[in-house]
Amino acid sequence: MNRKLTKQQCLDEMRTLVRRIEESDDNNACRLLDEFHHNWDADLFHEIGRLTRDLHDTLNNFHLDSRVAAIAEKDIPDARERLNYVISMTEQAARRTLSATEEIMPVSNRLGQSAASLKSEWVRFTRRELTPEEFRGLARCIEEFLMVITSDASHIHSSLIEILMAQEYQDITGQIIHRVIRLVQEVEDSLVGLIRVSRQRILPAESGKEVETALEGPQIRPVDRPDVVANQDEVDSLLSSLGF
Amino acid sequence: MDKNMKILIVDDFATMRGIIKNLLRDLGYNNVVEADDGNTALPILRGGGIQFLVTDWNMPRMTGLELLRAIRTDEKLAKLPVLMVTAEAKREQIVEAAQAGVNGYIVKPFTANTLREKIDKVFERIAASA
Repeated sequence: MNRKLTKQQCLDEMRTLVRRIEESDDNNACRLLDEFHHNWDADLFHEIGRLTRDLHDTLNNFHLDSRVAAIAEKDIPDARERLNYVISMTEQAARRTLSATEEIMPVSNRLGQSAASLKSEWVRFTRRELTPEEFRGLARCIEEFLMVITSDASHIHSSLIEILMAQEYQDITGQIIHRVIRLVQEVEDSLVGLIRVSRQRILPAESGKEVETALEGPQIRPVDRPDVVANQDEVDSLLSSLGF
Repeated sequence: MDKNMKILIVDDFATMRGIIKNLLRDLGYNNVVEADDGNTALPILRGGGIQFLVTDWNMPRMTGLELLRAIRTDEKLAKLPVLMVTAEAKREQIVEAAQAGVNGYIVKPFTANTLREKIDKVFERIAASA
C-alpha cells in the first residue's frame, strides 16, 4: 500500500504512533510502524542499504588490507629513493663513458694524422724520391710513431675497459626498475581491488599478497644497513672469517 | 691457469654477460659460452666441457644459488669452480652462498681488477688443495 502523505498527515500519524506506544498498545503501534515502512519508497530503502553495506565493506577492507598501508608508508618512498638512485647511476655511467670517450678521441685523431703524414713520405720513399737525409728523417719518424702507438694503444685500451665497465649500470638499474614495476603492479591490483569492493567483497588474500623479499637486489645505502656489506672488501673479510 | 679453459657466464642481463665476457677476454680467456639463467645453464653444464662457472644470483626461473646447489649435488659437476657475481649484498646471503659451496663471491658494482683477483684466488686455492 504505497501512498504519498502530506506533511500534516505524516505528523498526525506520528502522533498517533507515539500515543499508541505510550498507551502500551503494542499491536496498533506495530501496525502503524509497518504502514510507515511501506510508505517509504522501497527502492530508496534498498539503495541506502546497499550503499551502507558497500561503505562498510570498503572501510573494512581498508583496515584488513595492511598491504595498502605498507605500500603508502614504506614502499612508495622506497621506490622513489630507488628511482633517484637509477637517475644517479645512469648519470654517472654517462659521465664515465663521455669522459673516457673524450680522452681517447684526440689520441685516435693524433694517431690518424701521424699515420697520414708518414704515408705520404712512405709513398715518396717507394717511388725512390727521398734523399738520404730525408730517408733518415723518415726512419726516425717511423721509430717515434711505433713508440707512440705502443703507449697510445694501452691508453685506448684502458679507456675502452672504462667504457665497458660503465655499462654495468644497465644490470643494476634494470633490477631496480623491475622491482618498481612490481610495486606499481601491486598498487594497481590494490586499486582495482578497492574499486571491486564497492560492488562486492573480495578475498583479502588477493590484494594482500606479499612481494618476495628474500632477494633484495642492489643496495642503495648499504652503510645504513649493518646486515649488508658495503663493498668487496667487506665481502672478502666475511668470507675469510668463514675460512675462505 | 689454463687460459683456454671453457667458461660459462650465467646472467639474465645481456649487458652484464657482455661486460664479464669482455673482461675475461681482456684477461686472456677467450673460450666463453653464455646462458641467461640456471635453467638454461644446467643442460650446458651437464653437456660437459665447462671448466669454470661465473654466475649471477637473482635470475628468473632458476637462481644462481639453486644452480650452485644443483651443481654441488651432481656427481659429475660437484667440483666445478663457481664464482658468484651479484648485487645481493646481505651478509646472511653471502654466508648462505658460502655454505652452498661457492668458490668466490663478487658484489656488483665491481672492477675489472676485482674479477681478475678473484679468478686467480679461486684457482690458487684449487691448486693448493689438489
